[in-house]
Amino acid sequence: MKLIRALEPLWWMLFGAGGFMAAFFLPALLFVLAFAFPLGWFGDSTETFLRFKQLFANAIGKTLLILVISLTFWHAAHHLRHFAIDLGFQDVQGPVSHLLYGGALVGTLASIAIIGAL
Amino acid sequence: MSSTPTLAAREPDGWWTGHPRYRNYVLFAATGIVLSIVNVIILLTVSAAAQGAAAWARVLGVLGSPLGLLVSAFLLLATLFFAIRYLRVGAKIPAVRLGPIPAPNMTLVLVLQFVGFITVSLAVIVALSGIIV
Repeated sequence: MKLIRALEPLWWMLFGAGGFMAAFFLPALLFVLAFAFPLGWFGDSTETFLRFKQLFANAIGKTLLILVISLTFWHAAHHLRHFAIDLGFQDVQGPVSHLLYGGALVGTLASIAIIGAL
Repeated sequence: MSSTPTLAAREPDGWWTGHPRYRNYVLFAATGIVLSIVNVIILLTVSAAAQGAAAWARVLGVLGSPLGLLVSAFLLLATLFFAIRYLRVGAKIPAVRLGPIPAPNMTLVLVLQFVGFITVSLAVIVALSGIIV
């Protein structure tokens, strides 16, 4: 818990950066991936598949996606940690923090692996 | 100070429903869960794209099912709620964090953030729509 407290400025930095990434990119990405593509508004699945790969299967596209996804995970972890404190989970702050930041680390590594393989 | 043993203070049950500000605060904090789920959906879609056109079509089929659309509609509403509230809160940060430097106009910061949000959102949608590429 000492290390987590010592790194508090880092968590807040990741929270801020992740919040802006999530606010700017996630609504539009979710709209396209969950509505426009499945409902065929932007072409059939073959067209959207090729377009998605064309846009994101390159160094710039992959870096952008990894930044959006991983920073959002860190933002969510920090937000939920403070949410847990607000709900009265001060006594288990250590395990909760490890679980949440650990989850964000796993999410970051998973996003690098999955998006890197695109 | 009295040595009489007392019970530790705790919030009354359902405190967060007592005032719209508390409710919005709690809902905003809970969007951390929503954002994580949206992230997982995006990663599953990217993973399908990496596997090939058949896997991509399968994922789009699941997302396009009635249940998929219902869940996505909830997630999109929650994500928009998060974005709007985060940008509104974000506009207040420079006014209190720059110390001796004159605080920027909060309204201007707010307007610029929402212009940025709309611009980036349109750019993402246009890029993926196939209008340009």
